[in-house]
Amino acid sequence: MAFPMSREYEKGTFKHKMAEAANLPKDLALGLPVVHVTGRSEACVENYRGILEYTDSLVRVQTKCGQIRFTGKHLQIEYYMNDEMKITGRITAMEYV
Amino acid sequence: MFVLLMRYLKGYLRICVTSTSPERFLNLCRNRGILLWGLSPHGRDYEMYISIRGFRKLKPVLKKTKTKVTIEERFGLPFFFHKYRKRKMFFCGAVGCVMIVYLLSLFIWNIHIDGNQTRTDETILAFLEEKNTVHGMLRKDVDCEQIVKDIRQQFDDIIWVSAYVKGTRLMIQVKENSDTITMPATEMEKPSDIVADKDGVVTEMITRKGVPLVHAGDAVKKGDLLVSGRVEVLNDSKEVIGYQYQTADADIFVQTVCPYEEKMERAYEKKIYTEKERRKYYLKWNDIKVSVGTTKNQYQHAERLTEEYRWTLGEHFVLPVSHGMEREREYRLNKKLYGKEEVQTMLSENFHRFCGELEKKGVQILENNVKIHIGQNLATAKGTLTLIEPAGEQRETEIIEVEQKTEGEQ
Repeated sequence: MAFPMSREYEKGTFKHKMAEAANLPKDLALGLPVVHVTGRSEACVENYRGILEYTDSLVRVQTKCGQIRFTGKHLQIEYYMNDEMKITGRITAMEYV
Repeated sequence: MFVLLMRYLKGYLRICVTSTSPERFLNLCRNRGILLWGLSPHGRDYEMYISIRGFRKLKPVLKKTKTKVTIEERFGLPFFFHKYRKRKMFFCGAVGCVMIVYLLSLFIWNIHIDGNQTRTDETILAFLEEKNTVHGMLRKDVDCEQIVKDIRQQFDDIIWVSAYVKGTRLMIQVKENSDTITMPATEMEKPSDIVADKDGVVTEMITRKGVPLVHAGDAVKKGDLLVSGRVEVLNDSKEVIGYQYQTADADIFVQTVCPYEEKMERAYEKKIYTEKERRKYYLKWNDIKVSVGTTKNQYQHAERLTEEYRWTLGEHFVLPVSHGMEREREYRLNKKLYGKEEVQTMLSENFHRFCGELEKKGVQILENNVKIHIGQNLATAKGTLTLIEPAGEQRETEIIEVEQKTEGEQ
């Protein structure tokens, strides 16, 4: 499933300028993803759009600023809510695509 | 913790999802607000947990994504009730238990009294019982304000009372007045003398009321008058014209010689317990006794021990039920002889105890001539003690009538 990638996060756009001027957090103003990684075993993703791929060794998540890939071993999705998800397992890499 | 409890109460399932595009299934679930958790891939399938409510909303999603779902396991209270739906007695018991707990919570099961030092719990409880405040009464019948008033009215030395109901306990807190002075009862005192209650020599004498008839250094015998309660009233020519009677009061110390003798047989019989014993356990309800076992035996010598425990609910609520154990232990007697040192220690210990008791009574020991003789069969502690001890006992004063001579007769 393909998600259209938004350009709103890019610098120079009106929304970005407004957010900068008002000193608002970007995750709220622009809907940018927030990723909390605890050690190598836990990652919490907020403001995501959907799951693109989910296997034992790879989780691909679509966000407003592109895809985030979590690679590792024994990856599990601990919970999966409207705006937040938690990935557990042995995470070896996290990259923006 | 709370989340886990709510999940258990509402019930949830572990499902296995087989699909060509499981990601689409997951995203659709998310869009429709179907909560999934604990996702783990198993080959081409995915296992996850879903709530019962979520599972009911799953049908259109499954149709749309051509996904196959199998239920692996069911968890939670709704499934528990469904599983045991035929066990009616179990549910009756559970409901009955809740009802019993509710019914029991309607009564007062414990009256706790705090802060009392001179008045015992029993005294206050007995008074409360008179006022119909007892263990086992209904909670709604407890009138705390009245209890406070009643206690204040009944006990003068209690200066502050607080009563409140906490759960099924009636808590009573009191504060006693520690400065209370008890006034001695005023009564008409009879005139009395002080007479010697033992033989000896007076060493010290302080007279507060009455006429002293002996002085320090005088030897007195039992029955001798020491202080007279009759005070003579003299006229100008030193003639007795009357008497004033009063209760003689004095501290008199007398030096006495007290004989001391204690004999002790050296031979004694020692109990040696054999391992044999018989036990009887019982449960008693007023006069009805139900027992298990017996204490009947053929022992030559035996001692009986009884332990009984009264059942109480909480602190003071005594039930008319008790349980206990009777035990008959067999023993045989072994004749033995105390050793010389042993008997000497025992006799001197007894003598010291005797001296200690005398000192407690305010007696001073001046001289000690007690000696211990140990014979073949008998040990004796014998001698005399010279003591200074308080003496004197009250005796009614003899009333003497004085003839009133009129001036005309003179």
